[in-house]
Amino acid sequence: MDYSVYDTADFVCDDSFVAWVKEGRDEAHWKEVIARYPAQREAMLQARAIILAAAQLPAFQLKEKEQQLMWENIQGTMEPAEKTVVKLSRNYYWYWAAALLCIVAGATIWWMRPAPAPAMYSRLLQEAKLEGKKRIEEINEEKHPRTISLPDGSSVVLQPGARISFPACPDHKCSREVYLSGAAFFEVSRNTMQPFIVYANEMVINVLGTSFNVKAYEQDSLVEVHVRTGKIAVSVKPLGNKVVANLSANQQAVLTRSTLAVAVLQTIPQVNTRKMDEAVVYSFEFSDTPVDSVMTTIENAYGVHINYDQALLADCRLTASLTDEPLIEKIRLICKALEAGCIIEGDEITLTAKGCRPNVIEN
Amino acid sequence: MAGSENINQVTIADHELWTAFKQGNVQAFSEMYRLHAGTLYNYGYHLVPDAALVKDAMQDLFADLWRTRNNLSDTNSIKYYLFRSLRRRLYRLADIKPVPVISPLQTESIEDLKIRTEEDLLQLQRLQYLMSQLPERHQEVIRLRFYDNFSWEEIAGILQINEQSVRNLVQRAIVKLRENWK
Repeated sequence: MDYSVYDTADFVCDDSFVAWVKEGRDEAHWKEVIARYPAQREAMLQARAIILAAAQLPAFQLKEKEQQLMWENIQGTMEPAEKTVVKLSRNYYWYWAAALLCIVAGATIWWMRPAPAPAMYSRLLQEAKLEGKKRIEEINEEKHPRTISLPDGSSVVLQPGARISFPACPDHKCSREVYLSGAAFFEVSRNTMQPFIVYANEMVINVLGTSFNVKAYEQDSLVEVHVRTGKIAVSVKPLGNKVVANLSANQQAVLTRSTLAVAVLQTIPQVNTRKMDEAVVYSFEFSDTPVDSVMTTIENAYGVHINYDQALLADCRLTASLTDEPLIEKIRLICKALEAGCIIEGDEITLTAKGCRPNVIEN
Repeated sequence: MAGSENINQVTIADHELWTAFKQGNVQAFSEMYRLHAGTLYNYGYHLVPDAALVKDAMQDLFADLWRTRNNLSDTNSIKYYLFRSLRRRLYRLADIKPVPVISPLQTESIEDLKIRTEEDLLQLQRLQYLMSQLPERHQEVIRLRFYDNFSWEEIAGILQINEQSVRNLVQRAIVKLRENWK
């Protein structure tokens, strides 16, 4: 390609150039172009600025409430209009309710049994031929997320019901390959010498030091990974080790298990994705910081809600370095410092503090 | 190597979601709505800055989709399908010609686009202002290509013009932008 005849508009219209500016793809190629055509530098910079400005154009947002209301209106039109039919379908609700009750009851009975390892997860472990290698398995049988620290320093927040298997030795001794069933949030410590690999149903996630969410339930038809920070490479186990998608921050890959197809989606910023997305730009270095501003920082960064007695903690201050801790750990440490009890239920965190002790915190 | 895996293209998952919806799967339908309502509204509002009208059009669009699901053709990009349908609908509803919208200046960043320095930010705001001054059709193609990540082919389909015309529109928009820049 002869880029010497390109002008700003040509760069803007070049798909590969756009992919480089927006997603960092084809980096080497475009670095070389800059080096080879120094006269084009200005045009490229202009094109880049235009693309970035356009990509971040202000959006008119649909409020969540409005979106919900509209959905209800749409659903209204989905029911047959005649009254008799409505009645009939209402009767059906009872059948549904009864059926649901049976399912719930059945599920509960089934649940009381010691949970067998999901088949796919067991098969993956078997295929990996790990007999004789020391591995640890953790299962979160609690009702709230549980943080697990891995030997290499990475941490995993396991959602209820999730299980993970990982090697028992530090990462310089053996591979960093983990097997997951269920949903989990990973914060992976950087080590370019030893890749961190997550096997989740058919999906294989190759990690280059980053944080991301995985959803891989045995019974689900999809496997999802959602990148918060950094980059990951996704491949599909039954299709071999070829990378099928490279993801960076705010991108999501969805694997359809029946077809093994992977779709890459850009996270829509205004809907439900605020959680954790911006955690990376928040500072979690607190030095003599009032507790309420610590709480606000965490609430904003993670999209959670923290309940606590503001009046009681009004004069408390905290000094802590929490940057590398996952959310659960941050909360745990804060609770410890405040000698508070804490309950974490999904997005709701409740602190029961008695005030602050003079030796820990002094105004 | 090249950016061939456009985010809006090659979505077999999209295809499956669409098929499930066509077979009457309410969950798939609700997922389609959840995934696209936000961007669809943003697009519609830029075409016709009338919140009530856009919302009505969207509701009708989805209601009709459900009603006529058995007769719909296949699609590999639900987003593309929805954008194209909404556009047609809005033009039918609003027989007035859409007026260009001057967008609010607060920016919602899509992703970590590494805008760091104040200078960059000023430049970005100035460019966005200049974009808001472009003819409405120019704004639309720029938005579809760079904000909504549609391919040239998809944009051509949405606007019902050929691909070369789409590229020409962007070319002309950039020339105009540069005239007023700096």
